[in-house]
Amino acid sequence: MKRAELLEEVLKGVLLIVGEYRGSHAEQAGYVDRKFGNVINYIRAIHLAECSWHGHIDRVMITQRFPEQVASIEQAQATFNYKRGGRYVFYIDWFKRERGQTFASLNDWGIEVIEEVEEASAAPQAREMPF
Amino acid sequence: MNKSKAAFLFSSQVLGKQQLYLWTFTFKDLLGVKETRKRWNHLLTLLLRTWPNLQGLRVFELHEEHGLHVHLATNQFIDVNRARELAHQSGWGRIHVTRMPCEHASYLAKYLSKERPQCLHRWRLWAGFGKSWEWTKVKDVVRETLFSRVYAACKEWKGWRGKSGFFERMSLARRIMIATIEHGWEAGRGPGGLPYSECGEAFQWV
Repeated sequence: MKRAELLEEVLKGVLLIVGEYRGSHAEQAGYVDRKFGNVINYIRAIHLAECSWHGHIDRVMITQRFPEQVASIEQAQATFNYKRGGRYVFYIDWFKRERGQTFASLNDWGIEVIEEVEEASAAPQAREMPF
Repeated sequence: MNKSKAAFLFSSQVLGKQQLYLWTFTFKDLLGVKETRKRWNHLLTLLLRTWPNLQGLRVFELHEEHGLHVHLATNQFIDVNRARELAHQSGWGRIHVTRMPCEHASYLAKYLSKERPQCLHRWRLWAGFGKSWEWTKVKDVVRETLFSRVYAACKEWKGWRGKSGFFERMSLARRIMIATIEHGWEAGRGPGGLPYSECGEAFQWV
């Protein structure tokens, strides 16, 4: 995604978080019934993004719930093609701030990398020496 | 999903092994929630006196316009006309009943997904009733997540007992969880796979 496209999405009012990717963790989350041994489980991931909140840098925990087709942690981990330190757009369903921590839930649009335009560094302009 | 809803789903799986009936009890007039609860307790007493083997699950739903409703999933066919008489005796209005396939036993859980209204704070939104069956209670449900494993490891490390300093505990466990994800540590372990108690200086920032 290019900066102009991102700006367009922001101006449209699309709910998203822009942040620096810090890491991910995939897990089989769920509930176990100790009485009867039944289980409800699903695969989910927690992504960490670093962004600014009221002027200070903070980590946002973004939870992604995978569809049933993703049945193992390995399958979930295979989707983590993100570069640590890279800037990404996280499309979210909701976010909340709870006791100093920001939480969000990723929606189906997922995560997109922001294409950084690298400007060629020009050579310094030559100056005439004073002597 | 929260633990209460998970416990309800487990209970509905147990109840759902039998033929089920879905009941809805409502009022003609709008009543306050406390009055509704009182009348529900009365009705349940009458139902269990009449059908001692009746088993089921009850869910409260606060409807936006029609006040508090009670939904039931029961395992036994009961005479609707007799049930209606009992409902009138305990001050209830309308009754609706339908057969429900076992696999739809968790249908009532949708009412537990609604945001809890303030007037139902500390209420049991669902409960089981009847003899000779055990439903899953919230205390029987264990949550398995990265956070729960980090919290359990912190509890062992710090020797936490009781409920004091709850928010500080949560904050510490959350900070360690963030570090676990960021540094790729094993869940419930610090750098190099060490238990938290042996991490020493590596944990000074905590």
